Amino acid sequence: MNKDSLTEEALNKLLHWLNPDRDLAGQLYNKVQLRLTRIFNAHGCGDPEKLADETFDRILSKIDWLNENYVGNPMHYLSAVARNIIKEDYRERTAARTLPQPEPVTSDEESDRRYECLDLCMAEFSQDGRRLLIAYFEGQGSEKIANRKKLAAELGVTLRALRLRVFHMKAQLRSCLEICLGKGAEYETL
Amino acid sequence: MPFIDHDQETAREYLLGKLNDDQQRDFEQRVLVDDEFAEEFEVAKEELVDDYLANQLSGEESEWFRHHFLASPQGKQSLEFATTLHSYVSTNQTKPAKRSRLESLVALLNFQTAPVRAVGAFALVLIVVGVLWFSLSSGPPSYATLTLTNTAATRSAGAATPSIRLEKDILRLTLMLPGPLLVGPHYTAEIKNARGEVKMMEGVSPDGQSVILEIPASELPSGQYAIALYSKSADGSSHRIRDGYQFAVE
Repeated sequence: MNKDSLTEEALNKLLHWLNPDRDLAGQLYNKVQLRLTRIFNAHGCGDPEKLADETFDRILSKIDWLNENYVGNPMHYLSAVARNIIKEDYRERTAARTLPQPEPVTSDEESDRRYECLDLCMAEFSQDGRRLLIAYFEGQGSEKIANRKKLAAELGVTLRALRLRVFHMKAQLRSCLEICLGKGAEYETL
Repeated sequence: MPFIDHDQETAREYLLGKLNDDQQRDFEQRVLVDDEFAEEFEVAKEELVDDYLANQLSGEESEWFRHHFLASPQGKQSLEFATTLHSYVSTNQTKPAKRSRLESLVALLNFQTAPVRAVGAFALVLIVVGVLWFSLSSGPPSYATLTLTNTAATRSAGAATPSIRLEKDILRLTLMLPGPLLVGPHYTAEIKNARGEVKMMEGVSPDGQSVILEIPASELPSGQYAIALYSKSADGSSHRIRDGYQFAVE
């Protein structure tokens, strides 16, 4: 959403459309903004945050009509707008032949630095935590799946709970790594 | 909406471009409204990055994933992080203890019924006789070993080129890598002799710190050799390891 051109009145209308409770609407707005960004990322869009803003801009352009006439979950309308933007972005990128390519990962020096930082960050986990993370990645294919089932059984949790535990450990590790590398940006898991 | 196991598969399919337009729209709606599902979406992204790095995706899936999620800012960060983590994990993993040949044979004979055990014992006798006959008639190949450090290290230390007199069947070279590398275990070596003739060879890194090459002695006449080493990434691209390795055969 282009915040420079956003009037307080327009913001109030948008929040009201999202949820009549202003506090809940504010929380919902932040959550949806981040999730739209994550959806645009999944499609390889070059500037996902800008496209999330664009989604809200399009909603704002019709906000009076929506507040008066739209019946249903606002998220359904939002996702339809986002879907159009994904298609438009893809068409523009293919027309301009600018499909993004993944960049080379890192130089040797940066790789070494990242490894050293990760080593330091791993030390912040307990010994059991480190062991769990390492054991989680053992094996390939069916061996890996069997290993994870065994690991979950040993911990007395479901496989999904184990996956989530590792996911949150990785998020914590990633956040620590960014700080160690001086980037400072925290990895959000919302 | 409660999380169901199928959601995990749906998230993967979404990220690999396998859902049609309506299914994608439904998926995106759920990501926006359902906290648990949104979390599963993020878990699926990271697991696919892990699978991508471990070459567990088909060629088509890898291609799609590389040109979509991995091309985005979040995807690039995820790949960078996962590459570092995989390198750390492979360095710190404990290798499972392998059964000795004798233990394997004992396990092989651990049958449940007497007739099967008898057949197994007979088979074992045949195997032992066969192995003895093979050992006496041909003998196992013999190995000479040489460990080489990267020329970046030896150049700064002013070290001489290592050399070896080859009196064995095979030369097993251990090439020490210049620091932990964020790539997989597969390597290609370009071995060049003093006349400029080049031989390509596949190598494997068992520990992330060195690469093993096994070269038949018959292919290594006396002279100087230089080796350029290339790592092979999960996407099939190769990356030259900086500097190289040198050795001489007397």
